Amino acid sequence: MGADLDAILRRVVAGEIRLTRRDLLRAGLSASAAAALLAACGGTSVSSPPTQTSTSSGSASPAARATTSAGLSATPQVTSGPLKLVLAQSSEPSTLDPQFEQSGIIGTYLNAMQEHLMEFDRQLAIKNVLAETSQQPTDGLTYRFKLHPNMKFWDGTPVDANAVKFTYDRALNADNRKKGLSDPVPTLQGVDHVNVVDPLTVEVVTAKPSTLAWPFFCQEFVLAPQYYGSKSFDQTAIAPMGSGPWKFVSWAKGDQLQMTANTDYWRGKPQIDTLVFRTVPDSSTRLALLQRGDADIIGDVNPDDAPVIQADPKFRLESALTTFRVHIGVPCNQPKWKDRRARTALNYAINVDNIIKFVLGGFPKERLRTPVITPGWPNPNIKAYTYDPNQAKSLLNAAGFDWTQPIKLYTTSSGGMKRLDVAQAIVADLQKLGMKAQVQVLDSTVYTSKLKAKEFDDLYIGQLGAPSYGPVEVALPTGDLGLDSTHFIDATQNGPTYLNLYQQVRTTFDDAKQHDLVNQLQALFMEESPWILLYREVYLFGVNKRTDWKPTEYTRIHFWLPGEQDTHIIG
Amino acid sequence: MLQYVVRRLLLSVLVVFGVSLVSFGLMFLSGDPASALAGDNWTRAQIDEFRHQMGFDRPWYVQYGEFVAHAVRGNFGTSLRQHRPVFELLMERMPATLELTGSAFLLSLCLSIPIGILSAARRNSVYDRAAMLFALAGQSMPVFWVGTMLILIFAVRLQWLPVAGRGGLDHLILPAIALGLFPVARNARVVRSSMLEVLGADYVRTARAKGLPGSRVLLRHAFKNALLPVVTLFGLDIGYLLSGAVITESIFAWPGVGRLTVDAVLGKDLPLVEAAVVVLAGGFVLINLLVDLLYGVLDPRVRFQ
Repeated sequence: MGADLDAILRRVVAGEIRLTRRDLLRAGLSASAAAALLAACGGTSVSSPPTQTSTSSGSASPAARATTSAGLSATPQVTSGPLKLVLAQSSEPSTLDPQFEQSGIIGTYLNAMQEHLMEFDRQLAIKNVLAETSQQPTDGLTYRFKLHPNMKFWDGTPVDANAVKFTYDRALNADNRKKGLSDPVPTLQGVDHVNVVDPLTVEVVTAKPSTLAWPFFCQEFVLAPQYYGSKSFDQTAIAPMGSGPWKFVSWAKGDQLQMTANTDYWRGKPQIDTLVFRTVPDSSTRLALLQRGDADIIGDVNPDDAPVIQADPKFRLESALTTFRVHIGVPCNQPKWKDRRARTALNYAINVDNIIKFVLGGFPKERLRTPVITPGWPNPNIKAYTYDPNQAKSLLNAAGFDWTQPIKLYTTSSGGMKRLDVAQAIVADLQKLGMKAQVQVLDSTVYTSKLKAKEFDDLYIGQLGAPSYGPVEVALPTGDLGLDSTHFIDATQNGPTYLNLYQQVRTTFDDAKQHDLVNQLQALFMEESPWILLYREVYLFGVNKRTDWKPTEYTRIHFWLPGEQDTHIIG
Repeated sequence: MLQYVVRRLLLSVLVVFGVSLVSFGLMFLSGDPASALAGDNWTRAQIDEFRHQMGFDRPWYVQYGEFVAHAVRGNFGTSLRQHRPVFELLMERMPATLELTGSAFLLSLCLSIPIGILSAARRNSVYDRAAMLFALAGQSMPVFWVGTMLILIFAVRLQWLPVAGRGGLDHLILPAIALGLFPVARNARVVRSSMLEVLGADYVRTARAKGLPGSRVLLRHAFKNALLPVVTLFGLDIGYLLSGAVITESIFAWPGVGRLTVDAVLGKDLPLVEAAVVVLAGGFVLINLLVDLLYGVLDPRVRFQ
C-alpha cells in the first residue's frame, strides 16, 4: 500500500494525474482516519518523521533525532555535532539564588552550574571539590580549606578565598536576611567569621565547637563576589553565575532552563554541550516525552509507570534511595503513647515488608533498621523489627492501651511516593489489630506548621533528611535541625541522656569516640521508639539508554560527581 | 447608559475587593507562611526570626491593609518565594495563558455555533444525532483524560505534534483542543436548543411564508434572536477557560498564570496569590460587564438602568 501511494504521488507530481480539491480533501480525510485507526490499534507501521519542531519543546539532540526517526529504534547511533541532554522534572525552583531557597530541587539545578567546597560522592563519602585540601578543626573551631589554583567563575573572576568569605558574609548579613535571604547553613554550622589566609587559603571559624558544621560545607554554593555583589536580588534570582561545568543560558520560568558547556571549566570541558531542564508537572506527560525522544531523563516516575519503562528496550529504570527516612512519628507526650511499650508495639503492628512489596512496588530496598543510614555509622547491634501482631497486642495490653480510643494518622496527600496509599495500608494494619484508626489528610502547609510547632496530638507520617554524616543524623530528633514533633527529648526517659550524649558528639572530633557515641545514641533512640521506622524514600527515573547518567543518593541529580567523569551520551 | 457603566464599574471594584479579602483570609487561615517558606533544616528560632522579619507576626488586617494600600498604587509587592515583583511575574506568564485560553475560546466560537445551527436546522437527522453525541461525549470527558489521550495519539504514536511545552503554533493545537472541547460541546447544545426555540416562533414562519431563502431565515432572523443566552455562556466561558487552564497547563507543561497561581497557593506566596486573584477576578468581572453591554446591541428591547 505504501509503494502504491508512493507511485501515485510521483505521478501527481509529474502532472500525469490531476486531482480536484474534492479528491485531495477525500484523500486527506482517508489518510487521517487510517492513521488514527492505526494509532488507536497501537500500530507502529506509520513512519511519519518525528517533528523535532522547536527549541521550546526541548527538541532532542542529533542522537535522539536518529533514534526517533528510525521508528523509535533500540540502538541510537549518531553522536556527531553538538550533544544535548534533556531532563524533565515535575517542579522547578522558585529562584536560582541558592541563598534564597532551601528546597531540594534548587540543588538539582545548581549542581550543574555552581560548586561547593566539598561534595558527597556516590558512596555518601565527603570529597573535596573546589577545595584541594580540607581540614577539620584542631582547635575545635577552625575549618581550613586550600582551594585549587586557576579556577574561574564564568565572568573570568577567580574562585578564591575571597569568594568563600563573600559567600558567608552575604548569607550572614542582617540586612540581606531582612530582605528575605534565608540560607540556614551558616547558622546551622554556627559560623562566626571567615578568614582569608592567602588568595587560595580560607578559614571558616565557628563560634562554638560543632561537628555539625563539617557536612554542611557540601551544601553551601560558593558565589562570585563581583557578580553577586553588584546585582540586585531580583536579578540573581533569575540569572545565576557560577564556576561549574555548565553555564547558564536562559530560564523560561515554568517551561525550561538551558545551559551550555563551560569550555574553560577547571576539570575540563564536559562532553554534553547543551543541558536542558524542563518543568513538566504531569507524570504521564513526562513519560510521553521520554517515549517520544524529547527527554533523555525523566524524574519523579510514578511506580505504576515503572513497568512501561522497564519493558521498553530503549530505556532503563533507575532508582535512587534518598536520605529521607520515612517513619511514623509518635508524640511521646500524648497519654496514649506515653508508655514506651505502646510505642514499641507499633513496630510489630505494621507489616512494613508488605507495604514495600505491594504498595511501593518493591522499590525501597528494605525496612529501615536505624535512623542513621550513612555507611559505616549505623549501629550493627540493632536489628530490624519484624511483623508480629501478637507481640504488638501483648505489648499494648501490658501498657494498658485503651482500644476504644480513636487513633489518627496524619499525613499529606503528596510529598512522597504513594504517601496516601502507604498511610491507608498502615491504618489497615492498625485496624486489623483492633485499633479505631483512621487517616487524617492535612494540607501540606498545615502539616508543616504542626510539625515545626510540635503540635501533633497523634501519629503522623514523617520524612526526615539530613546530610549524610553520623553525628549530624543523630541531631534529627533533638530539635537542632528543627524537624521532629515527637517530644522524644522532653517526654521520654532516655531523652535527657540522649541530649547529654548528643552534646558530647557535637564537640568530639575524634573519629572512634564519635562512632561510639553515635552507636549509643541510636540504641537509646530505638529503645524509646519515638519513630516507627518504615523505609528510605525512593525516587524513580526513566533514562534513555543513550546516556550513562545514574542518580545519586544524596543529591539525586548530578551530572559530574567528584571522583567520576561527567555524564556522557554514549549512544 | 453611562450611568449604568459607571455604577457597574464601581460594583466591579467592590467585587474584586471582596474576592481579594476572602482569598487573603483563606490564605491566612491555612497555616503559618513562615513555616511553609522555611527550609526543612531550619530551627524554630530561625523560623521565629524569619516570621518577625517578614512581618507575618502582625495582625491579619494590618497585613491586608498594607497590601491594599500598595495595590491601589499599582504595587502588588514582591513574591516571597521568587523574590521578584509579582506584577512582573504575572505579566511574564499572561501571554501564555491568553494564547491558550484565546485559542480555546476561538475554537469554541468557530465550532459550537455552526454545529448548533446545523443541528437545529436538520433536527433529528443523522447529522443532528452525531453532533449531539459528540456534544455529550465532549461534555462528559474530563480535561485531564482528553489531554492525556491527545498526547498519546497525536504526539507519541503518530508524532504529528509536540508532546508539551510552549513554542510555535504546533505546540498550541493539542492544549487548545483539550481545553476547548468542553465549551465547544456545551455551547453547541445551547445554540441548538436556543435555535430550536426561535425556529418555532411566528416571525420565523412569517419569514418563510414570505419566500425568503432558508439560509437567510436561519442566519438573519433566527440566529440573531437565539444569540442572547449564547452570549451569556460565552462570557462565562472566559472564567471556565481561565480556571480550566490550570489543569491543561499542568498536563501540557504550559507556562501560564494558572500554574503560577497554583504554585503560589501551595507555597503560601501571599503577595503573588493576591495579585493573581485581583488580576483574574478583575478580568472576569470586566468581561462580564462587556457581555452585559452587548445585550443592548443584540436586543434593542434591553434597557440599562
